[in-house]
Amino acid sequence: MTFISFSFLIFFLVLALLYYLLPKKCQWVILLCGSYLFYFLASEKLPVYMLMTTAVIYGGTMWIGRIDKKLKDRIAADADLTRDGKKELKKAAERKRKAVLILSLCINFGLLAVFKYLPAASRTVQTMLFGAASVHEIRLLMPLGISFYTFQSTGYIVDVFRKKVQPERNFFKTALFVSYFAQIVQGPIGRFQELAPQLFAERSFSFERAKEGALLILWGFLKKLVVADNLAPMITAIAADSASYGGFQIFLGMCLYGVRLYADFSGYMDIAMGFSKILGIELAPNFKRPYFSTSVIEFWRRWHISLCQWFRDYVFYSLITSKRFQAIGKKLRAKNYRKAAINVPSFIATIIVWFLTGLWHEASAREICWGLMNGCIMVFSLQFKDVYAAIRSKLHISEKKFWFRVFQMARTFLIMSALNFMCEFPSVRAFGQSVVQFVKNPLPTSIAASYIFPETIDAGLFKVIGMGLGILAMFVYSVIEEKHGAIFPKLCRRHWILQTTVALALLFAVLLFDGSSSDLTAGFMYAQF
Amino acid sequence: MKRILKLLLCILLAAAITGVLNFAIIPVNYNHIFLHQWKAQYAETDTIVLGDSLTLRSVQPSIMDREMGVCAFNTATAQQDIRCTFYYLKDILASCPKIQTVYLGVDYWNFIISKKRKPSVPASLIVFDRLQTLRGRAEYAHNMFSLDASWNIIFRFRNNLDSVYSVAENVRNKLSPAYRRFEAVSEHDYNTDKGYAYSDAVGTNLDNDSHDLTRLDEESLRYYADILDLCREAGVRTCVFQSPYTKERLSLFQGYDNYQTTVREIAESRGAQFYDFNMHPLRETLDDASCFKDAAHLNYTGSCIFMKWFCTVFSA
Repeated sequence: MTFISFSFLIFFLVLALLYYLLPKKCQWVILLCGSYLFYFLASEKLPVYMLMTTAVIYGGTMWIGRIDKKLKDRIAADADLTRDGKKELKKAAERKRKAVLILSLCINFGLLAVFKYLPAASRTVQTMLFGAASVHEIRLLMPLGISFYTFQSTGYIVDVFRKKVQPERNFFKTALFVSYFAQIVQGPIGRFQELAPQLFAERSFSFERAKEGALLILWGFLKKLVVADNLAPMITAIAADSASYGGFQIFLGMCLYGVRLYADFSGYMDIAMGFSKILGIELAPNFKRPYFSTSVIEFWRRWHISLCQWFRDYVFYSLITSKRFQAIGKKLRAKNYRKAAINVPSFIATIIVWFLTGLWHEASAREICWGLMNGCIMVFSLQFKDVYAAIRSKLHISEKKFWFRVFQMARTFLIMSALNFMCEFPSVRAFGQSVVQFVKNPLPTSIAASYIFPETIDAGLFKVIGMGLGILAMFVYSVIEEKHGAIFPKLCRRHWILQTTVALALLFAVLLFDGSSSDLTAGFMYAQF
Repeated sequence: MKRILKLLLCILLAAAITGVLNFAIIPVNYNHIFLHQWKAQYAETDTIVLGDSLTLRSVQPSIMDREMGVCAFNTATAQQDIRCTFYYLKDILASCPKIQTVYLGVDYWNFIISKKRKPSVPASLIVFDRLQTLRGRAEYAHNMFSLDASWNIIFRFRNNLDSVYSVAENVRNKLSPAYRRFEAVSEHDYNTDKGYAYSDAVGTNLDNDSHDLTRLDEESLRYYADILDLCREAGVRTCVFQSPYTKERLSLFQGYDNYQTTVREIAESRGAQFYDFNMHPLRETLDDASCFKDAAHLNYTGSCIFMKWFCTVFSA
């Protein structure tokens, strides 16, 4: 069962009915039961690993809470305690807290490592030791959404450790925070202080909210089914056999891959936000029109926001404020390298973060390379920021000029599409082949639809036209949203005939042009992570 | 109250648009005439022919009536999956009291494992329309569509959109007086009578991606055996047959001998007669170029020759 299946719609309808019809006190319980049922139906096995993560996080946060309470009670009870005595007690408590945190993180990431990285690691080690021919594959079924719920629960325990939030005393409420169905498969990775109060709140049905949610769901369906799924055959075919395609087709495939990835991932987010909105829960936006970014750094502030913020808050800041990184800065400052003293620690931290981001996606050299390349681009663009500015001023180019901004956006789009498309190729050789093809004959040799949209055209010219209209609609929507803010809340305040027209247009566009299989069982691209 | 009314209006509007799109986009095909004829004749029918497009293009019930003295009807549909056939037969046996003989046309294509082999939704919907009983429809929908594909029953236009031109032509055809009189309106799909549909339009040769596959699909074989068991339990005589392929196509099927032996053994173990017309003594006389419309299907001339063999074999 996925968000785009008919069975999910029925599941959600029943869930929403129970959520609003049963006593308000039970609302979070309904959500918990619904989330576990969804997980069970979607992953086709017992959500035992998610339950283990929940237990570890609950135990860890409660333990940290108890240590804090004991320390507080001890200090309050003992009025004669000296300043040094208090310091000693605090130090001892801090050591214990740290030990609990490390233990919880080890178990949590250990589970993730076993399911996500062990098969790949074993394959690599065996290949190195005995050769590729004698590799015995370790086959483990990866629990659905493990990367997402592991990171979400890790964020929670770190926040408890940092005393940003109080530990949740109710185990089942912690379980709901970890398992909330709308974000379990692909995020966004929620923060406890933002998500938990909404999950546990009591609320009544709002027609306005439901309308807005329904429109968001339809918009997400359009992105996923009409744009992403119709583009899929063409892109997959080019990446699988690039030698058979011309340079222009490969270039177009690369650009359209950027569109497909965005349509697929942000489509899911819109659907998840829509369903949540109907239940009165506002999920944090995970995308802010990323292809309007003028640099790669800005792109990563607008794309998969929750993951980037997670790495920023829990890895980057932790590294940059650590003693070792501070020491590097100090050493450089002592040698009078003032600029380097500021830049070098942050550049190293950036590279580490991007290495981990690549690893988070998949335990493969391809993804790690992808992460490192992102990191390097960021480091270079920061390092040479002044040089770029000098060149611009020499050429009398104003950063505010419209055409220059368009150039920057196009550059960012092409860089990101190329980086992402690279990961679609089955091997380095295949990628190299595509580069050779592109250099050899970059110009189109035909203007026929079958040349420009190979494979995709098999589904019919009408679907290609629908897909084109979908991409155009996404572009217009993004331009309006960039200039005037979210569209659907405003639309919901307009005349109901306009709302109905938009809703029906979206519904029938999805039904007419959807490029998925007839039983809508095709999944989302990011669900594999 | 106002909100509920608006919501109802919205649903009604969606239903109306769905109706218009279904009318405009679902193409005219032989099923329109089939349903009309089947409705008039099913109560009298004592012999039915089941199968996919091979059977649809080869078996002429009117010749069977004349030569074998039966009242036959060809209920085959293009791309009919063997699972489809099972539920369809169940419904026919429940709703047609006079059925005495079932001719089941089998196809190598339906029994081999291929990644591409998936029941076609439009073909499954054609059979859905033909079911007579409510129970049969419910069972068929449950087993053939799964919950996630069941909305195709309502939004049928989803799987049929080819081009704007085909939509315009389709609407023109559906509005024509001939369509209302249940006469053939499509130039590619002539319908004669009693379910048999022939076409002289040259079809494209079917893809040969699965020709080298030799493994038989266990599920299809199970459904095939269930069909034969169903007939035996109902006390109905069953004859299984394989229509002829072109020689070129037959030579590509590497697992054909295994398929033929397995299908024959299953049939004979359940008291059914089996005949493979690719092995008919006169098969060599059936010329690929003049008797077939494409690599797999007989044309009208081929069908007439085939029917002579058919009646002789099964009358004996």
